[in-house]
Amino acid sequence: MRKYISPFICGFGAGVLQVVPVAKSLACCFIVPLAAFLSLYLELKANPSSEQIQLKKGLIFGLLTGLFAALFGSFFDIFITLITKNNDIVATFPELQKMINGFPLSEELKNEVLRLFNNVRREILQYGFSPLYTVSVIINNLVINSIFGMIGGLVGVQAINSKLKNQN
Amino acid sequence: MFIKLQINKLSLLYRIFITLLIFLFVASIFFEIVIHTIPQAAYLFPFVKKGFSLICHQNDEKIISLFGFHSLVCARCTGIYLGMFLISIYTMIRPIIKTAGYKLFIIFTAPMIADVIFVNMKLYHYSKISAIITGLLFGSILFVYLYNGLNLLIIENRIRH
Repeated sequence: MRKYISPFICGFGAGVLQVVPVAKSLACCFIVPLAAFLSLYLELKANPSSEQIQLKKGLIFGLLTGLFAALFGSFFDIFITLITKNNDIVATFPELQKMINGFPLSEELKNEVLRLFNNVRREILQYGFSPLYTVSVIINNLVINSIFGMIGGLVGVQAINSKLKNQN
Repeated sequence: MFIKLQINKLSLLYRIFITLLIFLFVASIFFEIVIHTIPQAAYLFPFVKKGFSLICHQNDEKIISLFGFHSLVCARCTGIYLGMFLISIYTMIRPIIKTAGYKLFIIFTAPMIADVIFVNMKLYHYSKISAIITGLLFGSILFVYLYNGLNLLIIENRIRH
């Protein structure tokens, strides 16, 4: 576990930043890839070496950073929803309704989709928890953060190796 | 020489697979088109939208519209993923065999960072066109690095085995 302390720390940081609106709008899609890069950089600082980092290590560190970010991000998202009984789905429901009504779908399908999301909205407003919302948040976070973490890890290794090569 | 030969051996199948994955990602950005084609996909719309909120602020003023269909991410992010997709198509025809130094990465990334800084400093107004173009540049160089990374990863595995 000690070996993977830097992905844990950076993943935690990324998970926190993902639920902070201002940070999210500034960093856009760079939070998790930067966290993956930072985890590799911290690892290099903790265990200094002039040897090139293996791509496999970058991939694993990126994946772990993404997974930790997904874990913490999901936890904070679900926890904040539970306390505030409010979230993106609730806040943007009228907008969502307008969008779905604008889609070229049959009235029956539109009503069915809206009924489904109205149920999710009602559950969140009432209990602060919706099983469907929770599952979707966890799946979304796991898939997207893992992919972006691995991209960050692969690109990060090359940047660090390029720097090491120049130093050597 | 060895590495160069190995890189050349990256099969067309790999390249097609990578392009297909990126295509699916880009297609999900324009999920409204997917709904237009497969109406049942509407059930997934709020979840896909929420998923993209992880990687983009989805500011209404910065979202682009293509033939009346709105993207789920901002113009800059759309540019990044489109850039990746376009270069991935190029690599299907002509695989990249040269590894890029980090200076090239800085050159291609600098316009995007400068655009973000200048817009936030209110030196000029936000423009979707400049956001897409700078995003395209960044996305294309990002793909080159990603492609190199995948290449080297395969070579590493071959050497290990």
